[in-house]
Amino acid sequence: MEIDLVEVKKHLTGIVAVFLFYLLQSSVFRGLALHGTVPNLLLILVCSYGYLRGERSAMWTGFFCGLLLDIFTMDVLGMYALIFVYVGFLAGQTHSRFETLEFRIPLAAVLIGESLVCLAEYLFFYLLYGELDFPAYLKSHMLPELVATLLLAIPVYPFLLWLEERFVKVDPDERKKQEAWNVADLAEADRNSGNDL
Amino acid sequence: MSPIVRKKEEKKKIPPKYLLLIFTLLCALLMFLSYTQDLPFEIASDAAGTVITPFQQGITRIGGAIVAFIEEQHSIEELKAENARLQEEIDELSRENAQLMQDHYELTNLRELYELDSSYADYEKTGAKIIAAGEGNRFNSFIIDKGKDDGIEKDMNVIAGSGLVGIVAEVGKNWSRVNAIISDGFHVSAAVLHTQDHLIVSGDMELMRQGMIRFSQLSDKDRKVRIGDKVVTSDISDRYLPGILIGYIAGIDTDPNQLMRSGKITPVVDFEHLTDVLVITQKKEVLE
Repeated sequence: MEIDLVEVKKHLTGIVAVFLFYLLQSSVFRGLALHGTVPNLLLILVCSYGYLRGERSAMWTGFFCGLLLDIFTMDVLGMYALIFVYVGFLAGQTHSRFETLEFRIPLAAVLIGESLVCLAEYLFFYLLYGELDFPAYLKSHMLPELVATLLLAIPVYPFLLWLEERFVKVDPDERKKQEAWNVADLAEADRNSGNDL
Repeated sequence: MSPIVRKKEEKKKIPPKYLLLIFTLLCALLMFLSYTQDLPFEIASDAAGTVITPFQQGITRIGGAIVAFIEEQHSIEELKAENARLQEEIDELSRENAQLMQDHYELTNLRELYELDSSYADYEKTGAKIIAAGEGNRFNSFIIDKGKDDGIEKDMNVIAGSGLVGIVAEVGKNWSRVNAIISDGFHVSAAVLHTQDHLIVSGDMELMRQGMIRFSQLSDKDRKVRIGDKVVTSDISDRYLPGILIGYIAGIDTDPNQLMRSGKITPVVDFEHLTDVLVITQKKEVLE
């Protein structure tokens, strides 16, 4: 079996990105935290990959991001992993549904994904402990985190896009065209190869 | 022919919906297993910890160095101005010092009075650096750079400066996770030093932002407890060593039943700027 260089690079960047983003979020951004709010960097990664690479890739990324968070912050493993896998799956829907590259789509995915994560956090960590005051949670935790994550997504998503295009060397637009390969394209490809011969 | 080869490749991959189902089941299984039995996952935690922790240590150190460098550049000018101001302060402080020495003498006497001379200054402690904080904005747990190898065990008390920070919740090979007392749903059995009245200190979502913690169930029949009174961990706590300072009472309300009182406590530990902590390597049950 031949090794697909693009696949290798894809996995490599994925692993390094998860690793690096977790480190950044847990150490560096903690120090830069504005008003005690830390942006959810890993979520931006999952949502961006959902849009750039599709749901399968995003789910894997989400699973490992979530697992890292679980190991280092939770008593029970698998909670964040589950949330992030679902966010990855939802974000991945944008990959096949939207044909063109558009900056606003991953941002919307980040917005929706972050809201879901916050709601899940509220459900698991506050509601179950009898903390019923949702408006207080919304004001003190959810809104600041949403804004911070969205603001950070504005520089981080283009960086990931640039990595995909320049390092992994797949033009996401091109990829999409390949996946939507139709009979006419195949016929044309055959004709071309015939001409070469 | 290329189309056939292509189709085969696509067939090898699991459809996303099934992958989602597999992940869901896997996570549910993980949750179930890690909830019911602890053992097998320590290996995974240790592996992740061994890989991640050195990087976190590095980043924290580099970050600290950068901040220190920037501050140094900034501060040369400020230092000169500050120097002059400090000289004045020294004069003032030496006057104050005399006053404090007197207070110290008084404190020693009072300690003896309260039989607190076995205070936590005598406990065996080991220093640790905070290298990472827990997820997102619930600053309820953080990772320190000492673990099993340094003799840290679960349920050891963690202090910083002179006050209680929290308790070790999970121990890895070279890291451990500390749960902070300000976190939501966290309870510590405590007592007011001055009257030895018992109360429950618990973290609160809203007060956490203001850096405060809540207390409740203070049975203070004679209304002797005042704002500013010291709150320490109590003798009846099953996990905390007695006599560790938690904070000062910042506000008192009487509960509707007129029997108990509750309110706010300002912790002595500055949780926003915590970088180093001390882990007390003595555990409560050992003392008994």
